Amino acid sequence: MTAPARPRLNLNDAHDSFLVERAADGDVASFEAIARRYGPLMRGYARRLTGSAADADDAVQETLLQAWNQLGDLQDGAAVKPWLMRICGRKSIDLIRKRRPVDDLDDVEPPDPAPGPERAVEQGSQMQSLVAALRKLPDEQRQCWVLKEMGGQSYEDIAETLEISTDSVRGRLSRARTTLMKEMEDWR
Amino acid sequence: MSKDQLALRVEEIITGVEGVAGLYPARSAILAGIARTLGADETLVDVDVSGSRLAVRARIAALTDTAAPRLVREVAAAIRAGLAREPDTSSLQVTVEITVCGFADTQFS
Amino acid sequence: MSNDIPDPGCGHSLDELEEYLRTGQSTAEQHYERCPECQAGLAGLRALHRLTGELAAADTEQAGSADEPWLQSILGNLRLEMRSGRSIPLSGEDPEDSFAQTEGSLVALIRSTGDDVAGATIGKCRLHGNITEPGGEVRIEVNVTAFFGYPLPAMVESLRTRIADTVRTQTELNLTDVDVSVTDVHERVGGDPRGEVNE
Repeated sequence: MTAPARPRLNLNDAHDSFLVERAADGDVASFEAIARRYGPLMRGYARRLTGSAADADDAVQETLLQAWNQLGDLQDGAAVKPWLMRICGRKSIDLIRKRRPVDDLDDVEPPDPAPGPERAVEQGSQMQSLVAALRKLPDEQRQCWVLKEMGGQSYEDIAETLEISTDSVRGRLSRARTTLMKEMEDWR
Repeated sequence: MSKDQLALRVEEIITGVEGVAGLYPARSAILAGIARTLGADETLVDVDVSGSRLAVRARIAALTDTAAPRLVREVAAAIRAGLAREPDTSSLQVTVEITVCGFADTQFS
Repeated sequence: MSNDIPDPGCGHSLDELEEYLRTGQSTAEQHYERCPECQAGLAGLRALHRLTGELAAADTEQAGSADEPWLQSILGNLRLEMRSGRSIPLSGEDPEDSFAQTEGSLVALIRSTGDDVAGATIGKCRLHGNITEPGGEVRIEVNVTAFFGYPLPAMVESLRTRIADTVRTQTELNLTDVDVSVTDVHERVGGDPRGEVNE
């Protein structure tokens, strides 16, 4: 840990572990620097998971609130990014659960997350196809896939987040992968 | 007893405990914002009945000359004892979440 | 679970190939290298990973910059919470119960305890240590502005004792030290210096 002692340090350039240490001591500015660094990443991830811009912002806010309260539990400050993503994944799933009756989960067509016109132009056609293929997956499989492949979560974390067994996680991921690969064969 | 009546009863119990200076809204501004979008209403104390469980959430101010760690336990005990005497709630399993959010020299009016 | 649809068709499953890609090793490594179906499967999986990564990057870009109003509004909401500081756990008898006190409430109490000492005004007040752990260690750092004419060593000692008493009574934290620094001495002219030095 090479924490500079000078107070006038530009926090936006500081290492995660430095910011985490200071934020865990109650320094709001350091915490906000962490929030700015990973806010857009979490927002994009939460939008992909929840399919809703409003839910995503609530998920990010709840993630940051929990992070602020539990930063002291984080052993390795350099691991703050995966730690935040794990909380964000969980908060997103919690919000999905709260907003929709449980029995509807598989029937609801998820709204397209923020598909601005500029997006369609910039995006490669393959990525569009992936977005379309993801949308066609059953919710439970898509959530598993996004948590794992975009959120970088472990089977155990996903199992805990979704309140299912790790075997179910493996099964859902396997089915999602199979479907996505099959779709990909068609694109090529 | 309606949910609001239950919340008011719990508020009464808490503020009756010696050493409690007053109550703050249990839902912070941001959680209240989320609650509003979910269609929940607001009272000072948050009560949530689910099956046979009753969860109580309160944010309190403690009197400066009272030991806060002991006070929160006394408040929880008072809530349990008080609700056990109410016919509507006597059979519920009560869980209590209390946060001391401030200290004051005198009770809130 | 069988993934019969796009499995390579040579007896090895897509899951096995994914595992091989993830870990970089497999007992069937030599087969994968020779088998055209497995090679195609591996290439497909790599493409899927690459695309997924690109999609994640596009999602982040699409989410906007951290300087935009959405994050400012979230941080604004949180500031209300953060002013109350961290959550310091208190113990309960029932495992279902959850008790805590806010760091902000404790800091305010320490300030007012310190301000009661004749001639002292507390400025910065920080709680150092892992106070979100039950029974965690805490070191308290306070800066004090003293009025001119009060004997400093006695004032500092009185502050240390009173703050330590308060923390021991009002928390379950394990107090290791109270560091008091006199950062300024004020002439006793004009108004109360509290307005300037209190943060």
